[in-house]
Amino acid sequence: MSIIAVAKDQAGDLLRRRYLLVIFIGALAIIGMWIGYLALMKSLIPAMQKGAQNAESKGMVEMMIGGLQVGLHAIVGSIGVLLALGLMCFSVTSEVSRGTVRMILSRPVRRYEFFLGKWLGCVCIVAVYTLLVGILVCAYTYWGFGHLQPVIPLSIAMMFLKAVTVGSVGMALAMLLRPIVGLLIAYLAAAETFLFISRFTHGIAKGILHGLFYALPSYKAFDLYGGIMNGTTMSGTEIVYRVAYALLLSSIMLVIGAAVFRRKDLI
Amino acid sequence: MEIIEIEHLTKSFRGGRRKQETLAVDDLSFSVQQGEIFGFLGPNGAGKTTTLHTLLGFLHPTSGGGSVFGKPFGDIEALRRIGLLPEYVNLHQYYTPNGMLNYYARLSGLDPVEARTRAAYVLERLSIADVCHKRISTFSRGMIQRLGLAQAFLGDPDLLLLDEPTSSLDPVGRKDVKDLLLELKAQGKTIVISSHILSDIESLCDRVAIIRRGHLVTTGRLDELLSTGEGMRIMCERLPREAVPEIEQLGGVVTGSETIFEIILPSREKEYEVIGILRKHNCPLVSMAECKSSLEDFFFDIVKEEQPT
Repeated sequence: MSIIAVAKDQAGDLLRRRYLLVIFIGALAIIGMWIGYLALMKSLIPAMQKGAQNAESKGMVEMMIGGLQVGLHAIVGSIGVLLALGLMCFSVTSEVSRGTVRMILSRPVRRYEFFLGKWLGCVCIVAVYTLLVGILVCAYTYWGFGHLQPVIPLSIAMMFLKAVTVGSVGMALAMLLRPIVGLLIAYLAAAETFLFISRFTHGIAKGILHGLFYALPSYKAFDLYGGIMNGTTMSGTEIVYRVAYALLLSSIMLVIGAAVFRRKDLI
Repeated sequence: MEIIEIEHLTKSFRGGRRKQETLAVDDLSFSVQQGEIFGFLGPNGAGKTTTLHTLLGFLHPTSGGGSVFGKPFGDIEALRRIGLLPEYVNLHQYYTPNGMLNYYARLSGLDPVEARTRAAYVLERLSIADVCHKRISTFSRGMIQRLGLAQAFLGDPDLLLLDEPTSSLDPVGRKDVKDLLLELKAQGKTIVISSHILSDIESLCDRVAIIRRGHLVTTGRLDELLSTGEGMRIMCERLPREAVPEIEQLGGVVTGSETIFEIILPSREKEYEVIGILRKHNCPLVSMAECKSSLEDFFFDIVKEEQPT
């Protein structure tokens, strides 16, 4: 009961914030611009295809269109991840620094209930964002290509899972470190970052980075860029695995975060 | 019955670049009985707020501990029966008073009907019912203080922890709050007040504890602490000049104007002889009371004694 009350308050509080409105409008504007660019490119396809000498050139044009679609999903996804991180990393700490947490925890509310309520409130806002951009992207795809490939809504759903998972990691780290540091680490410390950096290193440094690659969570599984390019989707089992991975990782992070928050002095 | 029991409570913080340890509360022990108004006094930085926050579970004791309603600090069952007014009332600014109280009522586990009834009662009782639909962000400091009190009283708690309850309030507001606290005491509620307004503490509290630098300096009933144990103050009218040497011979000190005179006797032994002198000179007796120091004097004496040399 307390979790729902705190979540409702958190979501309501966030929806009243002007900066969130700016982020929403900004995201929609970026999507709008991207869609406009895609539409322009699409209108050029017949002429480009006519001018194309062979099948390879035609394929390249189609690949370019696919690349632009992937770019749209990547931008929408990145904004979603940053939004989730921004909301979740500061949700608890801002209440502590404002002192409002004392008014709440002087009531029969357990600290983990407060923590989960805050998380749930942020998840609701991320869900609202996902829904809005999802509708926009799906509507454009259907309007622009005459049909909606199943991978498009699936990619949006995976983007939501990724945002919630990265946000949960950030929320746990914000309990251990300063929120802004937690945010940066959660964003940058995805396993792929270290794999990418390891390409430019040798010896022990490479070993350490590879170690971090295996130790840290990976969010790569949530990106369906290949599927968007090829038009292929995932099997039911693959979807279940990804949902389970997101749930498990988020749960572990929430348990860690709530345990650290429980031991914290609320000064 | 003891509602709050604090035993050898110690709380230290580590802060700064060198992680230096600061002792906020040092081996503090005292108790608060059911149905009393208990004053918790001390200069700034004495450890009052730290103590209150520890018994609510906001802070974890470094050592020692205690209980509230027989439960450990921060226990959910104990929190159900506590109302808190923090020193700095930080409310969610985007709410109206109604919305805020509704939120806190849900957290307190009140059912919607009871929540509405209680919210209406506390808003009315603290004279903020007419602004219950305005946003809190538009409120003055005094209004926020009243709202802070309203949320503390919302769940009809058995124990009220009030940190500076009358600060920021106008004289009418202060009187309203004092009347309300006395009414709650009559209902059997236990109230702990931490305040720097010593006149309020003196007029409200049954017992006090004074702490300084985290440790207890003194605790006890207010009338016992303020009583000097000896001496009498006699007030009378129209004291003739010839009576003054007679009183001074008995060790009394006479001060006053032409109409009202104050006679201070160093001990109670001579009080009947002085009354005899007043009768002899037909001086009407206005009042007669044991000499008491004010809480303010007492507090300053205690704090001075504790000053480092």
